[in-house]
Amino acid sequence: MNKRKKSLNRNHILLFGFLFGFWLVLSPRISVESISIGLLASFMVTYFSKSYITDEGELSFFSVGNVKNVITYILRLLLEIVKSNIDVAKIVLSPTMPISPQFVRVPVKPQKDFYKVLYGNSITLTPGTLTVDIVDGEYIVHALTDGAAEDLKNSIIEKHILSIEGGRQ
Amino acid sequence: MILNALIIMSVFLGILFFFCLYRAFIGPMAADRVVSINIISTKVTVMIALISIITQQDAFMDVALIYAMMGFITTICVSKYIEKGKLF
Amino acid sequence: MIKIGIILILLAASSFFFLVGTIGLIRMPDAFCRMHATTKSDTLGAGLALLALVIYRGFDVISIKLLIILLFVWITTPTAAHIMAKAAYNQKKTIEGVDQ
Repeated sequence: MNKRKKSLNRNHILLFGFLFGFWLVLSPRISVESISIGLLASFMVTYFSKSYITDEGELSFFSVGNVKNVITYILRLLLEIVKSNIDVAKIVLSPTMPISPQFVRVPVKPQKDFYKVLYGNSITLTPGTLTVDIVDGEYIVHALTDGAAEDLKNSIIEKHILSIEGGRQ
Repeated sequence: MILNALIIMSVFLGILFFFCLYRAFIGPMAADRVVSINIISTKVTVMIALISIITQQDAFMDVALIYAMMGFITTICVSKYIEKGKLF
Repeated sequence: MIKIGIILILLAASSFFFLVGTIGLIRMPDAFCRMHATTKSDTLGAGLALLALVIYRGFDVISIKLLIILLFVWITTPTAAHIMAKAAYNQKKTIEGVDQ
């Protein structure tokens, strides 16, 4: 009884709502049949994949006090993407290609798995760096230039992610 | 005006495919070939979306959505096969 | 008129970034450096092209589908680059271990 109560948490309802919204966007017209088939299909997908869904404590950015942190993180990430594209374009179009490829190791600061993945993808999108793997609590990062490897020591994106993970600042 | 620009961009993407295929042909390692196939799949997704707007066939947008997912799954499967020698 | 100008600028920028990605794929000396060029350029190029189509179409069901494609491409491109880099890294390590 206790186990059954524990097995249905907020993430199941989120997954169900996400799948049903996706179904409604893809369906050509809204009728009784399409809505009922969509409800059934969403329920069955949620039921059969209930052991793959993460725990409730994994995601913490749905609280009200965190909206400001998430919005500043997204704006900062867009700025970094544009900057990194201009950086790569300069390197590729210059005749001599001033690169010095190297592998560096960066310690993993976030605790939960979701934020580790988020920070890894953010490293890939910031200028001149590419995440390769996590080995023994360290990211292995391939850096294109020396300056990119230096910038990785105290990055601003990491502070944003840590402030999102820690809840209200 | 806009339609001509969309057609020109589709042709431009079609020309770029051949340069990616050149890298897939001469790439010394298997990883180079996977990179070029991945970039081709992203470009094909954008090209299907452009063609759907040009010909005003709304059903093509679903094809673009499915193609984006299939390109991602292809990349994952080929990378796992390169890394381990088997899929699972 | 302003709308046409914005769409043309977005399409031109998108074509430029796709071109940069392809030139980087041809010119770079190593598999990891090629991934640097293609990942970043493809992310911004696909994003700008799909954003131009969303502005052209206005608010519609097709625009929602285009935004879903854009979000999907932006999530999956760094993940695919990470998986390819991991495969290339482990393969390179295996080959060097055999040589020693």
